[in-house]
Amino acid sequence: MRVAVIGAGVIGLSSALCIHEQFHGLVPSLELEVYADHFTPHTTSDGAAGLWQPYLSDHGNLQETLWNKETFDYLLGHLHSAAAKEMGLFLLSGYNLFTEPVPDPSWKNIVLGFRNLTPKELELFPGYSYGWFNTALMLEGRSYLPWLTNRLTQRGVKFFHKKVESFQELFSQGVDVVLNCSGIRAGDLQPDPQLQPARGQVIKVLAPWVKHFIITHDLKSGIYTSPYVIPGSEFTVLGGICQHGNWSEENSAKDHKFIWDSCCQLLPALQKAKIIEEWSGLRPARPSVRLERESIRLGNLQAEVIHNYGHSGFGITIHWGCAMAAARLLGSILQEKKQLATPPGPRL
Amino acid sequence: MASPKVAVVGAGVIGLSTALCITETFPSCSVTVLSDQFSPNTTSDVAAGMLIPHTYPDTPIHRQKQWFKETFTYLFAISNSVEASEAGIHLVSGWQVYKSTPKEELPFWSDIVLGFRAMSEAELQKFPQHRFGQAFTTLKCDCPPYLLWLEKRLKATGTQMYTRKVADLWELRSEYDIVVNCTGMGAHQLVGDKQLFPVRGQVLKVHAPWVKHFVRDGDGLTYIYPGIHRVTLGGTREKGSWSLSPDAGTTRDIFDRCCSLEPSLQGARDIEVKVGLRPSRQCVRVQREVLSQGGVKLPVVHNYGHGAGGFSVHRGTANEAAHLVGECISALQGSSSRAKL
Repeated sequence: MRVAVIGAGVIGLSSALCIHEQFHGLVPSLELEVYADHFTPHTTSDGAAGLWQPYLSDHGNLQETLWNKETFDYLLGHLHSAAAKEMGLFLLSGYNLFTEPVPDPSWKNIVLGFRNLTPKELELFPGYSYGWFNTALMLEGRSYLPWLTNRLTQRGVKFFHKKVESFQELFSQGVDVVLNCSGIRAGDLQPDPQLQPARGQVIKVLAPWVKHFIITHDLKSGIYTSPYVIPGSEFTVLGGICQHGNWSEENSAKDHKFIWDSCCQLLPALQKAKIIEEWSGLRPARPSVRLERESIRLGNLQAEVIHNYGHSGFGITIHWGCAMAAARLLGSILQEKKQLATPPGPRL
Repeated sequence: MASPKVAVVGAGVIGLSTALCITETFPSCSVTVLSDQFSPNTTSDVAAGMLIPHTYPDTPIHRQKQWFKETFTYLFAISNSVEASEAGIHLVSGWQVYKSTPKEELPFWSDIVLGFRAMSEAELQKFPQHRFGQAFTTLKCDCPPYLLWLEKRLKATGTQMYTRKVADLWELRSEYDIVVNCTGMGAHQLVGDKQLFPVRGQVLKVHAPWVKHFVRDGDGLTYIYPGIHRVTLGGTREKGSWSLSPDAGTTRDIFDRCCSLEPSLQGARDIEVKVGLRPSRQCVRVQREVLSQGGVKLPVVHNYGHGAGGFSVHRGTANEAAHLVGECISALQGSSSRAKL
């Protein structure tokens, strides 16, 4: 039973790990492979700061809120494990700032210690009159992806550095199930007009005195179009760009100036921070995550694809919930193909 | 007295901040800082510099609260300015956890720090051995940066600083009009204050940049304070011990206690061990005194005995000491104008 994962970002690698953990003992013939044209540190996931935080509203998409919660709880459970440091996992508290009161977010009870900001705290942020404080998690892609890769390698999962041109290509090689975790490039494999880039740009600086995340919001212009500061274990990420429909992965001087000026206005001490790196990436934006099975007829064969892409700017936030959902879909496929026994009954 | 000459003895956080307050309040004074040690070799350099007050048994609470409030307000403004990183001042959030619920659930300073509240059940799950806790955001003064920043501001006002061991305050009478005694533990010898006693503290300074929160056990013995570059792990409170030598067994014990509060510290690197003697007293001595011998008088302002709470109240006591220096100046001007008659 050959299962091929396309994509080696946080979605592809975590789905692969979740599947291997759940099924390798149950399906002795399971062979898991990962195909990708980009591996860490060159994936979209590597550019993300790594903060666990969903968008402000789930637009009634309770399924995504549940996947977010599953991810948070899973990560929280690993916080005290010996692996946490290697995973790039740690607690981080901080501020979400608004210019007007807003309803509490869907995730207020998922994070720790969620509360409104006090007037004195708001004095720190002139121009903002309302906000939240909470404790969330950081999962740095630069550590998490190598950690996932190591776990998978230890488990005998094979990696192939190539750009898969079609699902057909893999099925014709004898792959039984394809897990499509191709992120922003999913449209190359199967057209999806709902999938659009939401271009981001970030400046990585050295500012080790910053111990909190600060995310400002401009409700009119949309998520992540307003300055944010996210301290990692080594660098602090400055951002505030989210451009729908922009496919450019080149750094823009205009965006640099916006990020720099607005973040320095937010935290004046950043003016003294040393710039280390600048990066642009394409959030794989979609009105909702595409996480579903698709049966593809190829001649007289029925091939199965599990789609798991379109995680917008909350891939890290939602990844494990989606990985488990993808694993459940694989479970149904395996049962249908009689690869997985129905719950064991008494031996006759 | 056109330009009173003031000597501030001591160059820890108390000496430097007091000198700065004096230059700010009385710009006509000529201030000189004299100390046998400067940063990075002062007691202040060992401390984490967290703004979490120590309660002095014999100082009225309202006075301690005023000192803390002035200090917090002063540093809050710096933390919010472009100078924050140079001054070593930054906000940090975290938790104070208790194995058993404390008698006093609301400390006197709870409305001065930011966002003070009881920890939720979910937050307490991170600390299985602890049953109660408080979450808040406060400030941290990293040393050496803060002391170096104070020195820089002092130099900008024309304040001179000299390495000099003052054996007796009286020896300064011919060179200075007023002496300010900020000698911390040195006051034990220098002014023979037997009410002053050391409380030895050993700490570890480690590289663990993923630790972004402070954790403090309410018993005050175990704490994790993340600074700009290093995390301070503590500690000990050994009353009456004068030893400045690190103890290896204590190092191991501190590390173990901190790892049980924050398991990821197992991955901490570059462990540096430091020892300081908290200059402890039942109440901080902020007081005027006039030394006199054979008709010669030397006004002295004392500002020492801050024990475990030096950083938390430094600006408040510096303000008070500067005010007392003002009284000394007035007294000198009064007597000098009388002398002209």
